[in-house]
Amino acid sequence: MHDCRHTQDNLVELLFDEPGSATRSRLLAEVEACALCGAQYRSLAETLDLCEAASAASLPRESYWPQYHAALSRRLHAAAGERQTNDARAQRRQSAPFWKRLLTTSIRVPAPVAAAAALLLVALSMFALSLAARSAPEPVVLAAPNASQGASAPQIKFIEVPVVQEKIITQTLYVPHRNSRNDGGDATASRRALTRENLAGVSRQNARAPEAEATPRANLSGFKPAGEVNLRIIKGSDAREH
Amino acid sequence: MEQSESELIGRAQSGDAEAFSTLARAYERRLYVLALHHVRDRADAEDLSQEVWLKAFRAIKSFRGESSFYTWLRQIMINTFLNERRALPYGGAQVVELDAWEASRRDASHGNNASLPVRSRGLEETVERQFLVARVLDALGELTAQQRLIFLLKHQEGMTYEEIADSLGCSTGTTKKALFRAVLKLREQLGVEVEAARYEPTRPFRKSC
Repeated sequence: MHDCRHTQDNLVELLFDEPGSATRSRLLAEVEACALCGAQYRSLAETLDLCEAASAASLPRESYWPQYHAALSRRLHAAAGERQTNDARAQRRQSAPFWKRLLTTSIRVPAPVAAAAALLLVALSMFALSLAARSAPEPVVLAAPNASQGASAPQIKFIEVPVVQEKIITQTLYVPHRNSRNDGGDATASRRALTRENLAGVSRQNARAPEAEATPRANLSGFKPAGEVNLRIIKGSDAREH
Repeated sequence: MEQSESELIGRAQSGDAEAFSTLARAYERRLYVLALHHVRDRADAEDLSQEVWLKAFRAIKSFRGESSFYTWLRQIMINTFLNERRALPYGGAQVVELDAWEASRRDASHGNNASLPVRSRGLEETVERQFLVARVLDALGELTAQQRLIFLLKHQEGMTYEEIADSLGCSTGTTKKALFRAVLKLREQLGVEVEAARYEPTRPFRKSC
């Protein structure tokens, strides 16, 4: 029984002479018997004939081929020269000493492996840098980068700042009271002498504080300055007045 | 003195470019036409076909003679076609030829055809042929790259379904379906009428290899 769909599905194969002789004869009989299948067959055959005619017509003129062949010949000779160069290079390489071959040997590595190795290298480098940065002293930034400098990196300077260690020495001086009359002229003279002596001692201490500390005066016995020393001059009554 | 193909192949294998060039003369037109139908542009077809020859020359040492030289060459051609990405978009190539064809058709419709000198009639035939080529190339441009290649291998090269399937690395069923769809699409693109098919077919078609 004729089935148009089945026949039409096989028309292309029939056109290309693919089916065996028995199938081919049966299909041809069906194409001749059925008007629709026949029309389909003829239209497909016309399509292929048009393609074949176009194929024959698409060949360039004869005048085209010499220049085509000349161009191809040039490219072939260039490729032959390249091949000879490569062969010569390979021969030279084979005759080279072992150490030279070893030094110039290259290996092919798959791209993913190479990428992974590069990433690992970068990660290790960054880790080492971060470790080094952690152990280094904190930099002192003296001035923030000027905004007008744009994208330039901030400049970091390390400056050693000398710390002046000052010592404040406190020394209590007792100056005899001027109104003391009991002492008479001797007392006044002794007071003046003591005052001069005290003043001279103080000026020496101001000039050379550490030395003053090192050489205790007679009236500062038992005085032990600690970290800081305050010098106080008290003008007032004599110790005997107290 | 003519040299046999095997002698030329032997010389080419030892690096003789001239021998390979002589060998190429035998197949260059066939290869060019196939490339033209695949890329649908003459300049690209020239480049592509010469690229196939260069690849074949570089690989000629691997030719063992287990198949014919052309079968070996055709596989290189198929691989090159599969790799190339230079196929033109639809309708890109033959604009000048179509304009010339339309002008000649206008002259013919005004009754000028009879008064045309012989040279002009020859020109018109040439234009008609170019128009046919342009139509077919445009129709081929509507196929997918795989359909186009399968159609060309079947139609131009006369390969069997099994050979095509082996060459392209697909199944025979896929090849059959692709060819069926390709022919139907070409019929539609070429405007071939089903009912009014006035053409007396010369089929069953068999292309000699």
